[in-house]
Amino acid sequence: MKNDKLRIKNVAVACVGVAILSVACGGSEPSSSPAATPAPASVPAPTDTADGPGTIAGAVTFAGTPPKPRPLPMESDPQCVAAAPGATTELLVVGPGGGLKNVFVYVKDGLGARRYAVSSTPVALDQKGCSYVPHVVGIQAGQTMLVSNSDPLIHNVHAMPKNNREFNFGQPAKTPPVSRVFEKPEIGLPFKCDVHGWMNAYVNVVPHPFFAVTKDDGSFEIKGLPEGTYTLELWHERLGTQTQAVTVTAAAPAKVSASFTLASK
Amino acid sequence: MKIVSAVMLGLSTVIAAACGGANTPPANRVFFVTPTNGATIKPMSTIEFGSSGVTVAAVPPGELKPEQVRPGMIHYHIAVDSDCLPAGTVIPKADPWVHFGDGKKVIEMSLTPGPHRLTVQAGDDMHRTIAGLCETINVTVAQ
Repeated sequence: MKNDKLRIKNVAVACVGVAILSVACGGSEPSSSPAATPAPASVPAPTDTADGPGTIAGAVTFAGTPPKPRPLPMESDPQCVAAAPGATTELLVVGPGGGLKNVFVYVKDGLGARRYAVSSTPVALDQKGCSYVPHVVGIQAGQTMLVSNSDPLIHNVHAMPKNNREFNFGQPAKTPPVSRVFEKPEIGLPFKCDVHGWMNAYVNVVPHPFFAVTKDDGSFEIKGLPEGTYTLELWHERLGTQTQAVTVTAAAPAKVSASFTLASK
Repeated sequence: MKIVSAVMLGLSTVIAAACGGANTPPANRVFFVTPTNGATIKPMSTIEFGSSGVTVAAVPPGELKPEQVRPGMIHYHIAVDSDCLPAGTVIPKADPWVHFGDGKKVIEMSLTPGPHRLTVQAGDDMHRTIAGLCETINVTVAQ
């Protein structure tokens, strides 16, 4: 009986010892690896198609004198300087007529319970001249994004979402495009590159196909809407957001104009 | 009581021995947890770093002065098909170095098929390399 108690005690001490050892020696244990992009969650079947008779057409301008575009600080990588001499930041891009580029415009409200099929056409994001191209991207939740590297050097694509899964992958020269999917809506999802600190992009994920990014002249167009009254949101990385109510009919495109200033955020 | 004391003493000796000796701190090093040297890996593979004897931490924001560098604190950098830089070198913010200034230790890496060298190198808060804190492995990327 006494021997049994002693045996139990010895085993207990050994177990505690092993446990302490494993904690004390600690070190850097392998952690759980990031999983691959999860398979799209099962979502309700779409009920509508994006072929309605309504169009929203508009233009976004910058009011005031825009600041002079700043050169990108590429000096740390001579290959980037050579690839894109004179490249400037895209934080605020204003065209000759005051048109504001890179505003993400989307239907924020008014579609009700309609559900739209996810486009099977991938959205392209390239890394070219040590910049993300395009700088502002719109994509549907569940749609595939295809990320390429056209540069003769390594970049890493580091997405830092709030609602979606973070990812970070290195993409050396001559490697094939990489696909990723965002499952949840999210506006202004930042991408960065941890090789070149100036490289950034913003991806905007919405649950339907009614969105656009303003062009060089600040214009945009959203087609295929059903008739109705919608809340349109306009998002700019530096200048903030605006919303507008817009009524869409089949008779003619609904016209929208908006203006941002440096103080409008 | 004597038995308990003896057990504690023995345990501490075992711990010290297992961790590298009572008076020998763990060797400062950085290494690849995965993949391992000589491994055959997929074209898109997870790479994870590990370390001992140092603390991995995010780089403080802003411009740092040399006196603000925290001794013993490092962050990782990885290079593909490149070798360790000499100690004291500032790791450039340029190809082929991916910085982990956020203090993280995992990345997925896309690689072309064939043999590649992977190098993990530690940097201090000013991205300066530290003697002995670098490892290079060879991997083969499957078709």
